[in-house]
Amino acid sequence: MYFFDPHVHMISRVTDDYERMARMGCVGVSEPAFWAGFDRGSVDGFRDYFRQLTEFEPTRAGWSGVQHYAWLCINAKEAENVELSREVIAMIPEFLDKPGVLGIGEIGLNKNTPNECTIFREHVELAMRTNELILIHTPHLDDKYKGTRMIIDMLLEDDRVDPGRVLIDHVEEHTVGLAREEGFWCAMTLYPVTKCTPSRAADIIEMYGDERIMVNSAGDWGPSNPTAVPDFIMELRRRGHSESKIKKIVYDNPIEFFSGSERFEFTPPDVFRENAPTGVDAG
Amino acid sequence: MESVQNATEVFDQVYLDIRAGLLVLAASLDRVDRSEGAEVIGDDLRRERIQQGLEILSGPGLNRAEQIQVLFSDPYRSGWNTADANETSDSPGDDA
Ligand SMILES: [Zn+2]
Repeated sequence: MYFFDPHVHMISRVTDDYERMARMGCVGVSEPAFWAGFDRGSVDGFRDYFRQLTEFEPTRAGWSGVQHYAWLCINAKEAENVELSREVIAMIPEFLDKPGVLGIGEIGLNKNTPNECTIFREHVELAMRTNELILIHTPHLDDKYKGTRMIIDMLLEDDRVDPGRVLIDHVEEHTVGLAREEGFWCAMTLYPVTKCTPSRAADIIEMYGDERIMVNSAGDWGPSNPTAVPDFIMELRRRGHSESKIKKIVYDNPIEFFSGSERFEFTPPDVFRENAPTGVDAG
Repeated sequence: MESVQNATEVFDQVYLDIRAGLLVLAASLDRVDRSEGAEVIGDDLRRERIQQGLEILSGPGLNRAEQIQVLFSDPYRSGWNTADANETSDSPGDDA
């Protein structure tokens, strides 16, 4: 089955991961900007990062026939540095006309602090001014419920925000209902430790339905599995769900949401295969 | 997209997982209790939460996972972002 991984930090993964994902049916990935494992020292550090996300990663993904899209922001962890965050937010528009940039993300909260809230609101302001989609990171573990509610409160403060253009990520059993009640899109992250398992994600789908929801691996530089979406596909198959229902979650839904960005140009697999580029040596 | 399997089919599928999960819980709690200084863990709030989690498991309901999630969640105060909320709080949205 063809699938999209709508949230995966491929910059942290090797080219073999693209290859393995492609062999399992991955035709597209979307990569939000995130924390590199250390706080970057200057706006130029982010400019280079955004160049990598919008220039080299699409090329590298293309070697395996995977279409690559990106989201830009300064993540919640580095948002504690308000001054730097404002410089990054002011620089983001340099990249908003690059092909494959889908919007602003992953913005959100990490420890639910006042500075994080300030920078979250300023990112939303940028997205509204430039008519961009928004991808939102919600905190993990004990902070998640409160952080998700605070994020939704802040989004509802601004009546320009259309919930149909916002994806709230990392939802779990206690937050999926909050996101959906207000009409937001949401995504579940399948992570080998501490987060949602394929089986719990399947349970959530059975309880909440398959509208405006998707699953991702959030593969990054930590313990994570970039082929987690196929694990989820297998779980739904084991439970007897139809191929068309599974496809809706792992393929149709991401495409429907991403289509809200005018820079989302996607070549469906059958056409895409014929024009697949050949590999290039990294040297 | 409801479950397409009946309860017996589902239970057959999850039985060994549940059994294994119970053993992990049991062995982990045993390991804590047989370690030196085990008595102080009785006063640890996290241990109390685990006890409450076990009670949720043995109770009725269709949303035990959600209840466990809420149990392990920081409190939230609605209206934290309104004009009457304490803007100077270090931790906006806190229930404290
Ligand atoms: Zn992420």
